[in-house]
Amino acid sequence: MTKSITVPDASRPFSTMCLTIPRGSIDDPAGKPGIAYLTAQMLLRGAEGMSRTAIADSLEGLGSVVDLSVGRDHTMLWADALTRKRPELLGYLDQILAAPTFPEAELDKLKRETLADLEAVRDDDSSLGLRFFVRALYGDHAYGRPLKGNETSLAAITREDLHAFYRTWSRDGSLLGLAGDVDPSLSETLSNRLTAPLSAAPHAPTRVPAITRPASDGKWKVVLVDKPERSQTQVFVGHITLAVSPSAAVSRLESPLADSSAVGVHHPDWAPFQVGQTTFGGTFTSRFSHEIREKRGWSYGAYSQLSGDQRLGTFILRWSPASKDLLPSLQLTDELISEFAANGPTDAELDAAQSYLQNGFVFAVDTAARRLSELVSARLMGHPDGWVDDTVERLKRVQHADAVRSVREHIRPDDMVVAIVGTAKELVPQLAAWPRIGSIQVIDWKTPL
Amino acid sequence: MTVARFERLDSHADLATEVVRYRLDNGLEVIIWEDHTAPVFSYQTWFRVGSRHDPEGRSGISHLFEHLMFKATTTRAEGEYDRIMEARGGQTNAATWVDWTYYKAKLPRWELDLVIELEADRMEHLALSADMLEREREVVVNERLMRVDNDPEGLLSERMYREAFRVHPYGVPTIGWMEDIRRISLDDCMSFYRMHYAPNNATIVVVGDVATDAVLNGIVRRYGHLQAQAVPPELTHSEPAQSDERRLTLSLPLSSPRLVKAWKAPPSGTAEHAALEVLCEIIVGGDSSRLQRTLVEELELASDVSGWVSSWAHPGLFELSITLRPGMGEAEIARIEAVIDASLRELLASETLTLASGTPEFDKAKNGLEASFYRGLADVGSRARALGHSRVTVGEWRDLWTEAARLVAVSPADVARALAATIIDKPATVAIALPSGEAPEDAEDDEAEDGEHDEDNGTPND
Repeated sequence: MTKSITVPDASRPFSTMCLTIPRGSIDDPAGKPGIAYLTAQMLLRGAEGMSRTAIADSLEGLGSVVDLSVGRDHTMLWADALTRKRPELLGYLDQILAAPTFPEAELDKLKRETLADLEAVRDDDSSLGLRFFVRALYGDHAYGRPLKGNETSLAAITREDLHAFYRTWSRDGSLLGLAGDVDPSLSETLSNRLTAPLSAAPHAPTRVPAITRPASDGKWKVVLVDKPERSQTQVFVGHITLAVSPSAAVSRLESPLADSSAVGVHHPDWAPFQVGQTTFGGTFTSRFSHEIREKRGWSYGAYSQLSGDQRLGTFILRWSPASKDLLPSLQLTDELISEFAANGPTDAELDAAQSYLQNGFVFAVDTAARRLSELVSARLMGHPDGWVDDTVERLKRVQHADAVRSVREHIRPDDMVVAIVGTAKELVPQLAAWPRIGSIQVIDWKTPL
Repeated sequence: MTVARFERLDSHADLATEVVRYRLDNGLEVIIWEDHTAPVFSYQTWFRVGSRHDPEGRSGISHLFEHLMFKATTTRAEGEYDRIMEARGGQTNAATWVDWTYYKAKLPRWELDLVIELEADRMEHLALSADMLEREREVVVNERLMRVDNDPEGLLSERMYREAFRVHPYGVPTIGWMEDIRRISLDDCMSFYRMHYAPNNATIVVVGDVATDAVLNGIVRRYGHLQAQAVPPELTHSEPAQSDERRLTLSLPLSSPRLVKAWKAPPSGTAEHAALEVLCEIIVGGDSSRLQRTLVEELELASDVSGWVSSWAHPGLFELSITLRPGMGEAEIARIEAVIDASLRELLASETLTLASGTPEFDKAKNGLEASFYRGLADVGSRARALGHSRVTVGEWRDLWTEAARLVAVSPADVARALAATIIDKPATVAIALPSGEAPEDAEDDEAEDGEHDEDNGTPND
């Protein structure tokens, strides 16, 4: 398999690139979440012969944006450049990747910046709610760990930890993507050049333990993030899904990446479930949005979403009702999702959803950078070549009966995890009176993240 | 029956493509940019009406009405527009801001006739009911709760603009004051529709995989019979010059204090505006910028620093926004203000602005802005937006390219003049948000407690 993907478009003297390394937050050692994140960020804060100041001056002097982001399984270096400046950009990236220095003083500064970023999450109700929803959903599992770490873990991480983590960045499994004004014939050479300083050892995926979930008692478990003076709430309702292979009796979460063949995005029900859930809350006219926003005006947005990776999927409902409408909107949502899970979507709804997804796919690939993003994502998810170009046909092949079955099988109204940001003294009395709710855990909004 | 005609007004050559503006004899303008790179196109309808035109006591009507345009027409039931568009894979939305309202659709290339028919239909045959208005009013109330009342940045921005613009309607939030949103009637909406949604008050922008003849023929067929209307003259009063600093402090449930400092700035489309864009890039553009380096990296007083020059039709603001580190308060805010002042004075005297040819710092800002220009050209929708925005705010639809040329032409001396004329020793408006319990006792003014404030003028409302 090639180590590069190129989407040429020579219409403008500009290009973007992304180098993906198969190391992410899932690889953070136990007790030290944040190492993958700090390692990536520190690459721009010191390299042999270049200080943080020199790196920023050099890269931004070209007009380029260079960003390092970390996900569960990957770290991505993203950069763009004016064509006339690209050789210089590559020269700087060579230096940065070849000899990062992880200066102690810069690491201390980065830790303080990261703590400030974590604190700033509290000032955005939606981000705050999502953070606690993720924690409630995954519990102590690696998936629930804060990507940027927390106060305790950041304090414990040393410069040596970052050096050691960087040494696990391997050429094996890396991928270079290029889009725009680039020559495709140079991409493999470029990929080899940029990854030359990385470890030559074969990539060894981290084993991920299974997520254990208590047996359902038919009640919703609510985490209420108590923040004062809220006239509106942020609501997240959902559960893990597609984490068990249809042919296996046990969860496949323990499987390393290369072996996860029938869970998460590789589950045979992934596409039927995606089509099915789209009818519930995937579009503006779907059931959920229609009932919550259009008919009642209870929220500016009301959506459902199925996201996933190679290990599992997550089904989420999100909306943001005024405090006075929280309980009625929760009750209506329960009614709607329970009916949907019992009976599934109608043929007319499925026709509309399939048409929407098929016809709208072109917008995921209508620029060179977007097409590159799709191709890279497909490769990282372990899909075969041709996967992106087969998307529309794949959606067409989804049978209505499979979509209905998937919805009935994979949406579990009794298993919902609920996170709400709002003012507890107004909300708890309403929520406590609703029998569907089994427990309400009130968490102060300043609780450590 | 008369046959509508169109005339070719002007054009611009971009690479090998000619981008052309036409006008129907009822005044409707059409800008077409053929680009066959991908099998998609963007179709946008821009109306020269935004929140600055909202009548007194009816703030928010431009925005609320924009929501209502997605309801029924005389021939299509409520929701049909969205159902049809979704089934064809269309991406649709709309936005309202101070100077304009626009409706956008991105579609596969074979849906040209469909979008022309649907857009012409709702421009002529919108059919609203009291029930539709009430339901949509609730949606907008919730939008306001989300974007302003429960969002510290939105609230601070709203309050800052109200303080900065005491006469000009840029001081009134696009989403409207809550009491006005509650007050808008169906009659208000229909009267607004008749007054502002006229062909001679609109520009259609089409960018992408289309044939110009097909676009023009379709538009003539569907819009050609519409009658031009007398659009009411604008009653906006100019904002008097600001003579003193204005300052406000909010006390909010907040983790990280916020500071917004803003100076009056020239309108979009001027050389002075371009010079301020370069200035903004120098002082807050990226990790290597002056204020980022001083406030975030060296002094560790802030976690985020950003800036913005309003790209509006009338004079707006040059804004600096700073998120402080948690636990900081008034003392650090005073220190940050002093650092900003010193840093800008130092810049004015530095080689970056005093040498005739560009220093690395100056060239960096110019390269950054050039790269931003290309980033903005990739998507057909963002190109259509740039053309429509330019037409409505600057008057010149080709400002996408002339703005780029203006930026290239900006010299260090231009930036120095703009800095001296706009910021150094000029009265600013300063808005501060402190965590509850840390603001001075008298900081919260009466109106804040009424809870009737709204939207961030810094971003358009969808």
